[in-house]
Amino acid sequence: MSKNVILYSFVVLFTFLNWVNVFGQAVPSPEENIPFLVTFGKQAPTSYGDDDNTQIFFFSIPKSFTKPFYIRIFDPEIGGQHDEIVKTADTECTFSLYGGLGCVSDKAARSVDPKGNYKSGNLLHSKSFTNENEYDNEWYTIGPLNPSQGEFVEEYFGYIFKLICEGGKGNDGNLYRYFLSSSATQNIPVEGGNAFTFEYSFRLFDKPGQVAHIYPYVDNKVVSIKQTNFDFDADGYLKLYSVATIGTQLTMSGDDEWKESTYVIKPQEKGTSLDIQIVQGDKPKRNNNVVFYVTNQYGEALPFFAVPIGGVPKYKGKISFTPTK
Amino acid sequence: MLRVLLISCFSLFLLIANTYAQDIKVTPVKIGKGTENVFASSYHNGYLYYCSDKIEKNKKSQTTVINESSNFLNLYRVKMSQEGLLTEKLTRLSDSINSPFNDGPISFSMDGKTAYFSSNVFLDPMDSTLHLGLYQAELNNTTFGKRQLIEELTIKDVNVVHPIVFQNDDMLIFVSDVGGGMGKSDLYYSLKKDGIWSTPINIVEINTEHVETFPTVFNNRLYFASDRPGGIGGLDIYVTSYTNGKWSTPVALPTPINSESDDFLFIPIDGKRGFFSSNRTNSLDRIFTYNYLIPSAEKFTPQKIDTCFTFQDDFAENKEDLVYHWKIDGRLLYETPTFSHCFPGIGKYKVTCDILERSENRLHEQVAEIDVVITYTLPMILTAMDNNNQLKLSCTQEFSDKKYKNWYWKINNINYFDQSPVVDAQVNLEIKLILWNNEKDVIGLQYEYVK
Repeated sequence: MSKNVILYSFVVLFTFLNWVNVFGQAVPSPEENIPFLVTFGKQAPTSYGDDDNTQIFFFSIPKSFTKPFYIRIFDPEIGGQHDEIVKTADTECTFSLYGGLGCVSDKAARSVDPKGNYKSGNLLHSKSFTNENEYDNEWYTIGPLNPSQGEFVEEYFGYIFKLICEGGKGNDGNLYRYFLSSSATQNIPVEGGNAFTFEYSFRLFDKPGQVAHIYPYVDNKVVSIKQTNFDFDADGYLKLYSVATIGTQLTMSGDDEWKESTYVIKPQEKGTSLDIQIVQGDKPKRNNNVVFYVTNQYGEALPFFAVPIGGVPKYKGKISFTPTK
Repeated sequence: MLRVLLISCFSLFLLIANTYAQDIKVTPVKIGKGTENVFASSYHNGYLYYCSDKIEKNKKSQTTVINESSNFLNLYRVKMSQEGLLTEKLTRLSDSINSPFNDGPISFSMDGKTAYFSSNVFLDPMDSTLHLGLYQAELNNTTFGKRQLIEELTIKDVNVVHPIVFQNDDMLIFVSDVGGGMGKSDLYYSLKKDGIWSTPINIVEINTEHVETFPTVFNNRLYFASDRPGGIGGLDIYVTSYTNGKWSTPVALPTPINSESDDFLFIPIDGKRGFFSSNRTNSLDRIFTYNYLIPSAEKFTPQKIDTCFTFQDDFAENKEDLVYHWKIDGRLLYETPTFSHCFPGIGKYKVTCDILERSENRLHEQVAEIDVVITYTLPMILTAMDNNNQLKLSCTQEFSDKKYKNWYWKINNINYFDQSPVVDAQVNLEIKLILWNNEKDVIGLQYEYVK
């Protein structure tokens, strides 16, 4: 055969969704199919589904966005609708917003455990809630905020603000949502904005057969990941999807326990988001609160973006072919 | 051109002959002086046998001039290298061969023991009309025996000339202007049965209403001259192959072997060189050597077009849970993770893949798409078999990255210079195609034909 006689030109079509503003900046996002974030009071046992009574979320405002913006919290109080009340609603929960240098660049801020200087940066706003009717099933708005009050970090696509939700005394669970908005009174997305966390504590739907998604972002230095999950009550199973894999099984935890499993990153997955799907079991499961984080080969936590970077990953096979012998 | 033979008037045809580009060096042989006409008919045992109309002194024949303006032909030979260099003096064949009138051309049997030649026949002593007939004579080394008329092929008042034996000496091919033919002169053959030549048969696949004359043979190929339309001019030399009792369509040899003048009696020595005759110089017949300036390829690339491929998706790992839906040009054909498919040939094909995740009953649509282009970056050897087990070879450069101006074939170590040779396919064939633009730009292709 000549220099190789056969010429093959192949074209693999990639269809990327534009990730910007596809889902807005609701946290959790509609695509994640997660009803609420959750944080319990410090007296709640871990078996309730919260390992550290702290949820740290970051909001990213692109450099191009120069107007005031707001961070809105839905149902920030503990009591009334949505929340998980144990006997009486007697738990305090504090939302604290940080900006400025070190807000995210401080290593402790990106840790999965709220230890050390995880409250790094400048405290911009703080508000504690208990069982107040005013914010039951209502939005609480922080702002107006100036984007430049955040810490500019290119790696996270703009000015970063950190919102820490900490459970105080009590054992009730606060179920809430966020929205990064350009309006104080409505949920209007900030163009190009996003939100991410390094440890995700959330509530699953009660209905059976639901599929929740979380989207850890894999940067170019990631070689392998370890997914760690807590208190899934073995309700269903976990699967990983990406541009280069379909339905790789991950280990799911039982009640009040941690489970982990590793996955070797393929070259095609670098610079993309993974889609970890939580496929709930076929029986109704009430009040299933879980914790999830993913670390790289160095033990560094990967961010979960509400709007997945690069879009929701769609498997793109790599067809290879060789002459049949 | 000598008019003593079966040549009538010629028409000049300005059409380009069916030739192809070749680098061929043509050199005149230093035989023939002044107004002498010479043409060669055989190269045998290192001797070039040729005819000349020069006047031989002290020969009675020269006083009996019957033909209008020409002298009579006599047969000569000369020891000559394959390159056309004379190594001995010119020698007129003995009187056992040469008569007082026209003698030649001459050819030899494969075993070299018999010579066949044309000469004037006088069946009726009172008839002064010169007609030509076929003779044979035994040859012992360089000594000829007594000439004998081949009576069974002799016809009164008809010219029968230019005998050559073919097919292990069992076939005699010659030219005649006997009535009932297709044109002015036709090629005929006769088969030897029990030592007797059979009734001649017109080679209708070759003959036209025009002149066909001066046959020569080399391997399974018959060369002849014709003034048929489509040539360059005058007589042109054509070649045809004989396989399984069939003659292929004659193809004109390229320039500079053929010219606008009369070109005839093509005598290959091997696949590269030989002799031919032409009146291209001052309208006098002269002998020329030709030499194909052909390069050799250092290596031969086997021609093999893979159209069968095995496909797979390199990424998916948990394949037991996945059902692949492979489509080729939109048709669902395979459902296994890996499959082999043979495409019908050169072309562009679209391979797409959907994946059904069985456990989720979820279809991942169009997860991959690939265009498979099957082509060939070199010239290609094409083969076509006819009903008579004749393999017609041709070369296409349609898909080649690079084009070549010249090529020749080497089939079972025999060179073929025609564009599309036809060969007997009843044996295995090692077919080589050598293509070149210049001596530094040569490639070789190889194709094994297995019977």
